[in-house]
Amino acid sequence: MNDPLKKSIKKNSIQVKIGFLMIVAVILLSAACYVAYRNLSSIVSSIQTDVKPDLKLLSIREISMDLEKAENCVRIYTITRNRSDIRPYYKIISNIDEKVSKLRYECMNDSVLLQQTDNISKLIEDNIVTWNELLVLNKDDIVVEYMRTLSDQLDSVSETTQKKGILKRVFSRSQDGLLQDQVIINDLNNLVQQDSLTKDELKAKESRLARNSNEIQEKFYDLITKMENEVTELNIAKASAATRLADKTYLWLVTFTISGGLLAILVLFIIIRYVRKAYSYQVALENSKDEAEKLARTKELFMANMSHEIRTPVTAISGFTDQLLHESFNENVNRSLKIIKSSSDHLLKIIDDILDFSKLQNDKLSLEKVHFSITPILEDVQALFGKQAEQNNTRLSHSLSPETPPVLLGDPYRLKQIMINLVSNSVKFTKNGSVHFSVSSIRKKAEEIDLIMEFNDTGIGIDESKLKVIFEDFTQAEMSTTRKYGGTGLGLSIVRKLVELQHGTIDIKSRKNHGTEISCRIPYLTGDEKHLKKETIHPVSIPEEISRLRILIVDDEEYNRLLFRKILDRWKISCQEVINGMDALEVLKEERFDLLFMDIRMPGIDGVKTTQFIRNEMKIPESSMPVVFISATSINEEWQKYRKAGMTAFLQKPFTEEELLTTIIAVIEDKTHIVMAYSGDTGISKPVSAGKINLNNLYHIAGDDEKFVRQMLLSFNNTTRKGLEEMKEAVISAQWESLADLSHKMMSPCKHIGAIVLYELLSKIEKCIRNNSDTGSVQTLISESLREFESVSEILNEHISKMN
Amino acid sequence: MAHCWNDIRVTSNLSDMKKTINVLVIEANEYYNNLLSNALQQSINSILLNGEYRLILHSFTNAADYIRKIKSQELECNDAIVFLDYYLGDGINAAHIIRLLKEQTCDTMVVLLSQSRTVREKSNLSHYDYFVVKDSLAPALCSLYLRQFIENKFSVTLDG
Repeated sequence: MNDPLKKSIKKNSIQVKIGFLMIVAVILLSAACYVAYRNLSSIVSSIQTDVKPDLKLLSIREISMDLEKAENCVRIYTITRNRSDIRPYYKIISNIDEKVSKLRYECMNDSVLLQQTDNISKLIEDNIVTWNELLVLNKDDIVVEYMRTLSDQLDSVSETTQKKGILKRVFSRSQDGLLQDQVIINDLNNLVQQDSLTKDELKAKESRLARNSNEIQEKFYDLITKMENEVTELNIAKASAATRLADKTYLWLVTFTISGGLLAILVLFIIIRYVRKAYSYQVALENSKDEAEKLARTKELFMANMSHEIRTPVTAISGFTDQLLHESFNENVNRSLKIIKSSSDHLLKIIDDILDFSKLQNDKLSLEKVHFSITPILEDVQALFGKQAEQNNTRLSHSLSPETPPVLLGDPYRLKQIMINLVSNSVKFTKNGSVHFSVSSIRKKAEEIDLIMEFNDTGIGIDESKLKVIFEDFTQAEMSTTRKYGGTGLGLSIVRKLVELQHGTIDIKSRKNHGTEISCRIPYLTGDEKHLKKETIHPVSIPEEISRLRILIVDDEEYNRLLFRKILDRWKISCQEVINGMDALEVLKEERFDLLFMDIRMPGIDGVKTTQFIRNEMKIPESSMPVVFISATSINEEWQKYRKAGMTAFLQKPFTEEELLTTIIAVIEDKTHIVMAYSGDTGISKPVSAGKINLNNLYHIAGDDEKFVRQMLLSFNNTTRKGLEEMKEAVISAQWESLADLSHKMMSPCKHIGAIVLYELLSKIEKCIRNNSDTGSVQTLISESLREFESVSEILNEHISKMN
Repeated sequence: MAHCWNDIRVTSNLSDMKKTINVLVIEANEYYNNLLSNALQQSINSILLNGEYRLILHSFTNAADYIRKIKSQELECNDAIVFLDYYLGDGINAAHIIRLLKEQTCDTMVVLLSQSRTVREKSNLSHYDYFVVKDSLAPALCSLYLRQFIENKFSVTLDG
């Protein structure tokens, strides 16, 4: 299984694991919530039920109260005989009936309670019947009472009128009345008798009623007690159930919580493991990236070094061959020399191709943007391949359409490179035919055009099936082409990359044995003739002023230095050679030159750093000593950087004698126009120069750090004073070697702060001792040194106090 | 920067886990020692190395201290650049130090400092990489060699 697939499965496996665990966690959480909700609802519902009053008990209490009220009404009525007192009775008993029915309904689920309720109901019925009978009995009693009242009245009349008995008083009213009275009395007696019966009956009923009431009350109490017991039992049972439910809920919740916690830990563990793995992968990836970048840098450096290393000897071969060609040899030697020259030039071309290709591959190639004329480029290309075309019996021609702007803004070097590569191919593959290259333009905007370059030849052509790969790296249409015609196979690849780098397009049409048509379209801005670089007139003779120049050559390659010397000697120019930047700096400390040729790549400190040092630290301005950089590689991309470092001009190796002379003349001519960029301002903010001391260097190093300057001056005072004291002691004990060392040790600081007199005195002391000459004068020199130091120290102290 | 006169140790702001590159100044004169140390420290501050390395400046006015530290391996002599004065006092000169570095097979770049250009010829020393005359340009040159050492060591190009 391949690695990406494995990684994908691994990655998915982690996602599945986490997803599964998350789902389980969600399910557990939902279940926990559901169980908790259900159980809590049940408990809450139970509590709500318990809070509600028991309706049965309420009904019983109401019925009991109603019975008491009804009984009271009957009793009050029997006492008052007031009808209004009996009215509530009827209302109460009608309600009792309803309440009993309700109680019965409420006890429907409990057979015992229902039976009890039925008993109570029956007893209440009995009570009501008894009360009704009592009431009926009490109504008769009213009549009896009425009759009694009547009898009493009769008795009272006979006593007042005749003082006779009740019967005499009744009969004394009339004869007829006598008979009637007798009847009445009889009736009354009957009534009394009946009343007596009724009273007995009434007593019996009241007695029954009281028993009934007691029985009802007892039954009620029983019922209530029973019901209360039942309710209590029920509550206990419910409380027990609720406790069980709560325990169960707690258990569930604890279980779910623990499970959830474990799941969370598991998920966390998986995530942490995944993150750690991801981090380790990321670190590995970053390391790989760093390695790759380092490798790319190394490759780039290698390419640049190799290019330089190969170009340098080839440059020497080409240069020296050129020099030899100036001398007269026999024809055979000359032919050999020409072959060497041609081969070395060809080798240089290949090296350039490889270097350009490497830069293009790494996106390191940057484009120049200068105003340039297109006509000289066309002419140069024509001239470059004219001879080769002629050798191939091929007619080489070119044309420029009149609407093409004469000056363009862009990179002329790369445009020329594209043309050279394409024309070179056309000429190489065309025998006995013609090659024509033309340039035209299409205006897109006011200052923007598309430059169209067409290259037509009648050469061997390319098979249509190969056209797609022709622009690929290291590709030629046929392998046999390389063998027959040579080349690296990079030419067209470089062309395509250069065109694309300039946002252009390239098309090719070709038929085997019918020739090739290549068309390039590159956008350019129209240029300005005023900004065109002045063409330097090729010198035909060495100007007199050139011979007065003093030139320093800095190059680590011996043959390059020899080549320079050979040419410059011929021109009678005085020159000095050094092999590296360090030596150049040492020489420049002592001498000045009119011009410096500086190789860019050198061991130790390179040409760029050396030049920077010359400009920034040694303060030698461009106007005083121009620096021409020399290198085997072109410096298009680095131009600005080198200018900033202090470069005045650039000369690419190999160079011809004419190119060297042109460069020298151009630089020397321009020398007078160069802005005095370095003159005046030395960058030292507070220079102090008071005859005996010069603190310019110290201030330069310190920058704005006055504290450092102060510390250094105090240190100088202390160490020098101490040193001089030690010297005095060393003289006494005749420790001459130690004395020389002490003297030597103090010299550098003295020189640094510009205490030159003191420096020279110390120098003399050291020399006297080291040369074993006149140690007798050492004592005097030390005394002089002490005096000089005191005066220097005074100036320094004054300066320090001003700083405070 | 805090200066003390013996074994100045100033690190660039990097963690302790990084590989150390020692920048050593062995110069008997305190004044000149400080001058060089200051210039080199400024260079160190301006050099931003990748995360794996750090630069530490050690400064010695007494060569014997340096010898003791190297012998006791208290101070790593590999991956180091030494700015070494020729005359170190107490009968010690640069030749002793260079011989010691050779004995210890140290991968050290040596910048020899001297008051006089003639020392270069007279001393007959061969195991040094650069020679600097102790003039007004010396601190700048030493900084330049330090930067070059870093560039060569890490195959980088430092700005400025």
